[in-house]
Amino acid sequence: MSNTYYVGIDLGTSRSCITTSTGKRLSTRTCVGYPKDVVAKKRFGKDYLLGDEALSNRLALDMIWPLADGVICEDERSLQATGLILKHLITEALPERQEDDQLYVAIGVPAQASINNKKAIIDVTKDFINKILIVSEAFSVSYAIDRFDECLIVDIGAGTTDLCRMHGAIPEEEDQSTLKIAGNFLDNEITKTILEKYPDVQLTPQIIRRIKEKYGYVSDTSDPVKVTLTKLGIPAEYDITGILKDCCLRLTNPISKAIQELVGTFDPDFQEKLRHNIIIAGGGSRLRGIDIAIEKSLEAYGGGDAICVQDAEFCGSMGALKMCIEMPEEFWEKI
Amino acid sequence: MIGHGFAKLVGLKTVSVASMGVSIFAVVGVIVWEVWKTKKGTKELQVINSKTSENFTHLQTELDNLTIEQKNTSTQILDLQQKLSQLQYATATIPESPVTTFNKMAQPTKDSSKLTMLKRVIDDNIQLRKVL
Repeated sequence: MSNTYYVGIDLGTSRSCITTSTGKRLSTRTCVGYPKDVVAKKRFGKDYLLGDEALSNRLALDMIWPLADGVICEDERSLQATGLILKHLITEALPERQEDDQLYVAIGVPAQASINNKKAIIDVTKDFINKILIVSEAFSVSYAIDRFDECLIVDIGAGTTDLCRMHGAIPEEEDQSTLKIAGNFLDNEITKTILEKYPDVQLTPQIIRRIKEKYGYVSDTSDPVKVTLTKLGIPAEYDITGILKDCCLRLTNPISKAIQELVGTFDPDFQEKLRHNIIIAGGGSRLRGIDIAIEKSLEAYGGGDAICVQDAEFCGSMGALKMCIEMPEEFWEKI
Repeated sequence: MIGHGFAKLVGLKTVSVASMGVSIFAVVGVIVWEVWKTKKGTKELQVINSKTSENFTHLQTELDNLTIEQKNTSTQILDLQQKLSQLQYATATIPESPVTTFNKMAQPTKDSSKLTMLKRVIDDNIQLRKVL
């Protein structure tokens, strides 16, 4: 007798997460590395490496980040890489799955992903997924936390920040907006500002990401942030406390402006309620003090209250899974 | 007449000498009393001063203890923050999360508002496939 497995996936620019009906949760970097030459191919013994394994061996690989700009790049290699990552995640998360088992999957994509993008995901997964739903990431978050009343979901990812106002129904296009200002923007700002202050230090995107993830903060008070960086290979300690704070604020200010734009175009009777129910999700919600920083930026527009979701990494995939599990079978049959 | 005048003069002198004596006695008394009061005040001040010094020493010790405690707490906070960030970010692929052999079955919702939303999700996906 065959089983039906339900799976929720959050396909992110930087990381992709999966949550299954068997209770397993995995996450991996959304990247694929192809060996640069025959020597590299011989070394790895594979045609490609995925996720963190690829990242660790990136010097010998051509790296593909298929969702570099928040949506799937539409070239052949990126589409293939997206399919490989999704297949890898499912295989890792459901090793017990037999060939005749059914797989029902909901995949969260950025709020304003194009139809071509959504079609591309359906296309690359048709060989290993039986039923697939494409849903908005922000809606997945609200489904995970059961918040469908007047609230504003702010999903700060790596490539995009998706904003979505909820009002007890499926959000329409005008309820959503996407900003290109997100985690990657923050990385670039940090890199630029560190190099302005310490011109000769050696930085890579990985170093910046580690610094951001370990120390990133937007609060007024914090311990000094001193990191060890190299200058012509010689390590030394550099104080980047002010740099980190300034750069984090460069991220929160435009987000607060976008929040206000969505609040300002909402039914005036509910604007106040919306402004006081801001829910921050995504990797960006892990920046310490981001909720307070957003509240502070909103003071210029009349104030607001923001909270961060508890499980930032898996919130989207959990919402997508919940949708799968709660979807009546007759609804599934329609697709 | 002369005798009477002399007696009056003697009387007056006696009175003035006596009143001077009383005045001197009173001034001396006041001075003695002031000196005694000052001495007493000084003693009280010395007692207060020594109590204040004791309190100050006690507060100094407590402040030192608090400083040590604050340093320890800061170290612990830093340690915990590092552990937290390691937990949150150092995950390459999150290793083996608790796996249950139990596969959760479908639990179709009966909540009408959720059903409406789910129906809309399906309709959107049907629409998407039509464009394919």
